[in-house]
Amino acid sequence: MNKFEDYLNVTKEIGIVEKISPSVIYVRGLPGAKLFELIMFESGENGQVFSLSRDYVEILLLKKAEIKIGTKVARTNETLKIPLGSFMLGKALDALGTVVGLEKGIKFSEYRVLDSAPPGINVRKNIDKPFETGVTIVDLVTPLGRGQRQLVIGDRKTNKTQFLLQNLYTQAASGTICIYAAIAKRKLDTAMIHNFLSNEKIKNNTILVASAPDDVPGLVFLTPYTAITIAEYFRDMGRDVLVVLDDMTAHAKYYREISLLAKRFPGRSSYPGDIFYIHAKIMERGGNFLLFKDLDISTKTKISPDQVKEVSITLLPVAEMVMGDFSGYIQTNLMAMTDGHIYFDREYFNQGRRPAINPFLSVTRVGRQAQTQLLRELSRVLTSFLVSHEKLRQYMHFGAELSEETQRTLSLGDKIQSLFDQPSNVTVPLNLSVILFAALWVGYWKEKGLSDLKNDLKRFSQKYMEGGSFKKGIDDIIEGSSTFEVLLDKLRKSQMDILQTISK
Amino acid sequence: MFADFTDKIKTTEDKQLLMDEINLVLKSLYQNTDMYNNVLQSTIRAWVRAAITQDLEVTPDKEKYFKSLLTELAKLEEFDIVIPMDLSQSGLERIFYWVKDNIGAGIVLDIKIDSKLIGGAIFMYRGKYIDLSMKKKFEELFGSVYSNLQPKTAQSVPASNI
Repeated sequence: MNKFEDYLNVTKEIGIVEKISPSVIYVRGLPGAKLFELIMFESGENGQVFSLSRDYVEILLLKKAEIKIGTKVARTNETLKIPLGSFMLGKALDALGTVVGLEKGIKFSEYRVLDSAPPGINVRKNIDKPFETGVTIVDLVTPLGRGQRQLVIGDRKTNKTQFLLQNLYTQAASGTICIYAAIAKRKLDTAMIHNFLSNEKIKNNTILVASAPDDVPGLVFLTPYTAITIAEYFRDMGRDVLVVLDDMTAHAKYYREISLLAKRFPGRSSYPGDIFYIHAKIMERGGNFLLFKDLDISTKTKISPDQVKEVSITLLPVAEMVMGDFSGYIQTNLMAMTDGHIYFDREYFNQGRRPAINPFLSVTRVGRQAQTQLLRELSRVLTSFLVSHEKLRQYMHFGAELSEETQRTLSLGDKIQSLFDQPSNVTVPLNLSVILFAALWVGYWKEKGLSDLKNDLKRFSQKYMEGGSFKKGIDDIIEGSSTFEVLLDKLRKSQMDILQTISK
Repeated sequence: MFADFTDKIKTTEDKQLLMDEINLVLKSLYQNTDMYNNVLQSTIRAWVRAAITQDLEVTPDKEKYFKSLLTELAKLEEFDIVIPMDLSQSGLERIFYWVKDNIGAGIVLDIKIDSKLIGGAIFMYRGKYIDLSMKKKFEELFGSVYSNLQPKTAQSVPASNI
């Protein structure tokens, strides 16, 4: 007896396909169908109940299928669930949780429903731990915290994906589980991301969930849900998780397509009225949580159930803008429901700045509370300097003669800008960013030109990345400095030693 | 009002045939008077003609009458039956009247033939599905018997039982 007939006999309900649209199938019958229930067609394909009306059950197709009018449909009495387990690490999955090239005999730890309610306030905690991105300008100017939902927004082709991969690399290398959800991304782009994630250093801490633009809209719609469900599984295992949702504007477009085909009343820009709810529900599943039941995976021993552990799901949703228009519907929605945004400026990109992050238009609402006092003061000083530097640069356009003080400020600003310039395949540890800025601020390279400065910065970074006593010394200086002034003082005293070391 | 029609149609084929006839008569109304009379006299069945003529004595508005009749016929629900072989007329009537007595009027039977059922029938109505076919019974029976008929291997028999 095949599976379809099994379900018919168990549920004793049948439906007949009466109307077909590209994403939504209208079925008459199935009186006991529930919302989000899994449905099986006579030909073996699956669908999910999308909506219930008086005359029809509206079913969302989950795979490309040739469904004909008159096809029989059976309920399965099950909700769509995905298999979860540590086998997913280092693998690529589709939106239904099917692993590409999975070996047989793999054990699944559990199954979870894709669309679950976000945790309540009783299991949440304030964000108080810093989130290192590996990108100097973000770590110093718009810092993030673990559990923050930070929107990455900008025009297309402004290197947002490269920035996200830098974040991913930094976090995966330090043990965070990183999940990249490629929502309706071209297969070529997904393959490039998959190659990056297959790096030996980070492979065992990364998962790729991907859907292509030519997949059925139902599958594309489910992609961020799959990513978040996997994140929640690892969160409950006691691991910190980073989830990148690239990109939510494409997700909104596919949901709009599904809703319009299902004859939902269109709202602003033809998006359905519940688009904010759909996205907010995903965003609210991220945050900083208290885990009351603790499982330490690394040692494979169970810690006492009384122990409370702090775990986080940090979300980096991506939104695409059109010609720098901040007032787009989906873009403003996402900005409202996240804890800040990092803006990739097309102007900066065209000027050659990499990453093309505009620090004046980027916001972090909760990142600063996770910083130490040293970093908070540094950030304040730097931000204030950048603002005055920007004003001076605009003043230069008048062609007025500049005082020495102004020229020094402009020169320092250019040097700080060269510190922020970072290739997309390089990640910079936070301590290195701090020490380089502090050294610049103190005047280590006061007399040097930009090209000499760049060489020195490169040598400094290489020396630090080699590890050893130099790195330890720098880390100790930072650890031992409670404020920015103390750090500057220490750097002034050890200027000769440090400069001599890096010139060797 | 249309009991003369609904009482006489038992299957979806009957319903479709009657609806085709009524549509033909309705179309002929928009042509000349002779066409209407020609269709009524020569194209449709005698009992249909008699029923229409009788009803039109009470309802002179022909267009409204035929459209109401079509609406009433479209409302008839379908009771799907899948059986392994064709039914005789008496058999069909027995099933129809049983369904009518137990479920109610306003139903027509949609009969499909599937010899793989061997015997019995499958019923579908308003989304409900009941499989009372011999095929299902045999599959259930053989499913339980098959596992007992499987040859036992050395591993499956404990050494102490040999």
